[in-house]
Amino acid sequence: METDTAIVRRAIDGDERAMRMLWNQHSAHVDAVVRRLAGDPDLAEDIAQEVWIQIFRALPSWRGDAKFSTWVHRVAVNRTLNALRSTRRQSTVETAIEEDSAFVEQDGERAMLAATIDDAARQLSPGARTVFLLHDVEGYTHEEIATELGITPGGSKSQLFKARAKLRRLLAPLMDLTEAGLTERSYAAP
Amino acid sequence: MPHLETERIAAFDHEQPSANELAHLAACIVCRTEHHAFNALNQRSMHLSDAPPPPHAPRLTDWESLSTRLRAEGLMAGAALTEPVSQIKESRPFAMESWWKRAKPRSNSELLRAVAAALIFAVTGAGINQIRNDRAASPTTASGTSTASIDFGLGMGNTGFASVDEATKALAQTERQFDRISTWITSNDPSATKSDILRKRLAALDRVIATAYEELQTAPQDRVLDHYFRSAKATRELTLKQLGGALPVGRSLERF
Repeated sequence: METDTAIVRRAIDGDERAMRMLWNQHSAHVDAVVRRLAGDPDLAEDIAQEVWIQIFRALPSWRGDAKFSTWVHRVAVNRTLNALRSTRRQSTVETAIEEDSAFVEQDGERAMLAATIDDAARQLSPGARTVFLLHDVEGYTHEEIATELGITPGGSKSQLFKARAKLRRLLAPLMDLTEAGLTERSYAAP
Repeated sequence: MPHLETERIAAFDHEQPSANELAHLAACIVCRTEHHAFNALNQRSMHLSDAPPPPHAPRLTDWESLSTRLRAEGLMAGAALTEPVSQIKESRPFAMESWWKRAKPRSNSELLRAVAAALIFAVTGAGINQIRNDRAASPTTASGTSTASIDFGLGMGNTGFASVDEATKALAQTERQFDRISTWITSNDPSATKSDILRKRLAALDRVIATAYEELQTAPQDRVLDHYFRSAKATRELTLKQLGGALPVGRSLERF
């Protein structure tokens, strides 16, 4: 079986078959990353092609010291963030989280209950979602997030805790059901 | 004692709980349960990026439009493939790869010089004479043996084309390769950011274009000349753009 290194080398030379193989192998994962970060399906569609163009442009910079899939993942995250920034969706990140963390009517929130973390994250404001995904899912530090989003590390932390709190509320029924099933522990909402 | 704030509990993996908070957690089943729930949420979130994508989610990109973009940007060589993706399992390097690898210089500058030398040689030097002589000796050109005898000094000899069409296709492929490499060099060669080098390159390209144009006046049907004329013009455009980018802020390119 041909190694990633060999396929990438051919793709750098412009070999369509090699490029198509890479796209075929990794597009599902790239799609998942873009969908998660973009939140909006139409926006995700716009961004995904730019992500792939960037992946092929940057192929010569892959040195093989990390797994190719890891490198692709990182490029996908970075390019998606750039695209989000260019659409100015991040410009209101601080404001958005404040609005997001304002009082939410209990009935309205119940209507938004989510089945998965991805579903729940989509119900956060763009800024809160980005901070949560970058820190808790992608493993970025608050300093890196601050640099990416143009906010302070303290602001990033504050947004993360608010985002987690809202996710917890959105996911409460699902998580508590799972917990109850596993541990038979009763739970009363605060 | 009131329950702990939800956001405060959400921050416990960043900031240690105080003694009072720890005492409250020990005594309050509700807050302790919340604490466990946040830990579970964090664990699940951590593994989200490794989770397999949904099996039936439609793809966000399609290969046809992506490959069109990649060709337009000079990242992909050759004509579009026709077989379905499922049949693409192993590599078939494109025809010119082997000679190109043998001839590949070590640095970008050497690469550029080799490509430029081949271009200039083909258009202005012995290449044209060789073509003309071969055409004169074999006016029908149907066999294509005349084009097959051209050697650009890059290990291309003895390629043995079966027809002019085949040779022309190979030429077109080489041109695309040339365009792609030129694009890459102009984008990545740090020495090419100096405007004097770009000006020299432009001057050389202008001579190539002028010579090819002059020859095309007497041989407008010559596809080889025509290909190199267009390639040189495309490279000139790229270089002009780069020269424009190399100028100081506030200055625009009027002449080189």
